[in-house]
Amino acid sequence: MLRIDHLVKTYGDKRAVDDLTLRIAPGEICGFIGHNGAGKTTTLKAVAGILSFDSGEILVNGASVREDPLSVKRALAYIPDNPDLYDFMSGIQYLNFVGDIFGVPAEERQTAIRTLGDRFGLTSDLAQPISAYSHGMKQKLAVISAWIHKPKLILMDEPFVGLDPIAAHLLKELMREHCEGGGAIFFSTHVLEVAEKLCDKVVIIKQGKLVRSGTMDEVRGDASLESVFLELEE
Amino acid sequence: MMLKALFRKQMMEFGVRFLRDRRTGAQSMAVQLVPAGYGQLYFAMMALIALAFGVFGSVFNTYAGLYQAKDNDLLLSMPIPPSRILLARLTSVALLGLLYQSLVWIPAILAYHLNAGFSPVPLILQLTVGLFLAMAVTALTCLLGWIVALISARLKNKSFITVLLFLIFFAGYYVLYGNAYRILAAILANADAVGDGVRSWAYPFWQAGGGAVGHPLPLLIFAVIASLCAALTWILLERSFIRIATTSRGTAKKVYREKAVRQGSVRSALFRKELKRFTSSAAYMLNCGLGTAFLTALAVALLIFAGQVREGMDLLLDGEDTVRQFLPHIAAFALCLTAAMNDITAPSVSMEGKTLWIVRSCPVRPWDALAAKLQLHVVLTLIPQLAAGIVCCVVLGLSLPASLLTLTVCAAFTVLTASAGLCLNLLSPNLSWTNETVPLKNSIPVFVMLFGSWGFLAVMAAGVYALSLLLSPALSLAAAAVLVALFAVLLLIWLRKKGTALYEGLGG
Repeated sequence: MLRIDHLVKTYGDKRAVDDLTLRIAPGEICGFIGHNGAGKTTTLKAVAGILSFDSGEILVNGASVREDPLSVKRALAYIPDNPDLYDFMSGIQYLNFVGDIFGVPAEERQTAIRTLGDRFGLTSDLAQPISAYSHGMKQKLAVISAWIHKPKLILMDEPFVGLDPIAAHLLKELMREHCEGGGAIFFSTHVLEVAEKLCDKVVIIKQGKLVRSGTMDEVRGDASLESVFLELEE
Repeated sequence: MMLKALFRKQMMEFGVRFLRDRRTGAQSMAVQLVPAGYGQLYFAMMALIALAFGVFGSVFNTYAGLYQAKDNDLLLSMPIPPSRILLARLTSVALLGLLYQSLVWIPAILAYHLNAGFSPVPLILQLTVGLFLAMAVTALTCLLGWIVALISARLKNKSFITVLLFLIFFAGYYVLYGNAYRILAAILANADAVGDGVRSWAYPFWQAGGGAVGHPLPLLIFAVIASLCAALTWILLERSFIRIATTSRGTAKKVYREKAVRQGSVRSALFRKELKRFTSSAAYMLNCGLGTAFLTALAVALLIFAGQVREGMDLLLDGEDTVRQFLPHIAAFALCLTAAMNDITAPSVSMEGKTLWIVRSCPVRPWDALAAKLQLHVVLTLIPQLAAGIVCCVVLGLSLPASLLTLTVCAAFTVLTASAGLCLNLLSPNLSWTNETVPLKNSIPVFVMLFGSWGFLAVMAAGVYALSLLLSPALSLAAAAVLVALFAVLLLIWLRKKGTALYEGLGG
């Protein structure tokens, strides 16, 4: 589903991502772990086609981000760490905007909005302007907008920040359901317990370089993910 | 928030004109009133006008700065006494009020000394009156700002109502200015009665007038009244500041009811997004879209006053066939000049700000995103421009070819300004703003577009006139149409090639 080969991204003299290579197969939830400034957001943005990169290759569902960015973007959804959405729209206007951009048929869209809105308890607030939303409500709206067009790959940057425990639980359920349906998820997190429980695969990055990757069992062995991570960071 | 560049320019212009205008300015009032011994009445009226300017000039800024400031929570969480925060906010309100009030008060003082002869003591007293007047302006501004905040919190279409209020104020200003000579004549003819009226209905200002002409007691009375107003305002605000700063006066919650939706195209979704962004911001509409309102007003006014315009033109151009040949040029120039007040595309990329990731992560071609911005500018400008143009051509009795040529120049100019604004913004984007007034008011693209398009029109007018000396007037206008269209096409080609690449490179 996602193939990153020798990705390099520099900001001036600094190599934010340095020769990163990884694979995520359909049905996998992959956790992306690293300290602040390790290059997680840069990598996710490069995969989403928001950031250009210096060298390497990124393929999503077989399509190259460089060569065929529109096909790649059609196949994925991206949720940033801070969901800055269109404050001038209401929740429903934003969802319809995303639905139109991704060509989601009206009926299918309404069903998805109703189902996801109800699950997250956001339906009654959809007529409200986004400017009146709390951080958590914006995060929920961003999650719904990501799910309504049924992407194959979902990229999320710290998706649990700002979500209440019920919404966080729901999101984990959704992530699992998405992968059971053949999709894949690549998300960054600092909450190692969540990664440990949720992920099939984990990628640890340090100063832009991949330091460990594999299935959860391969990476942590007999230890906890936290102890492995702390050991690698030393 | 509502005091936009145009308004500020207009106010500054007023200050200069207020001193010099022979028919309606301070000088004309001083000439009539001061030597006749009506100095107190003169200054009392000037104080009232200065108060009005000070209050209208700063009231919307007070609303935004005092009652809607986004950093109130942050500052209140710091170890700063709330009274200090309030003092800092009120100081900026007072300074702004003083600035606008001075646009009237300083010319009034100058005009007085030109007619009464210079004397340092009255000057000191007049400046002192000005300072106490600023206290009154601040007090009234805070009160009105509070009312504006209360009304605004309960409005649904805040941005449209703000724009409407601004336009009404603007229209009122011009109506008053247009009738100022008549009002002034009436005041001069009934100076004694007006004086009695001011004394009874605006007692503090009558005392301010007395103080300004050199009487200490009236000055003292005015100073006490103004200081009391300011002190009362301070006490009220200090007691309620935390509540004002932290209370959210949200409108009633609107509950979502599912409605049938229709699937739209990518282009239409992007256009609706741009339109929604534009219409949801009074600042965006006032700074970059006033041309739409003015062109619409022009079309309506031409329809209503068609007969008078025709009569006036006939009278003016009787026997002036050479000038008549240039009517299409004049019409095109006027329509383009008004359309140039629209610079919707100039901040449109910057306005994406931190939300740029949305379109960038969606399957949208960069050109489609840019085309939606162009489309908004063209639709909102060209429709009223063509409407005004058609009415103008009919009223002026232009031939069909001349009318078509005029409208072509207008259309080409609008496409050119839309493209130029977008090019400039792509070359100089600002995506890291925290207050939308930064890309809307304090940005190079907007500044360049506003004055550059007027400059371009001036150069084009001179060029067309020069060309008309060599070719016929009709051919010179046709050449202008071709040239403007050519520039527009060149910019569109640049946008499609380089512009899209620049857009793709934004944010990293």
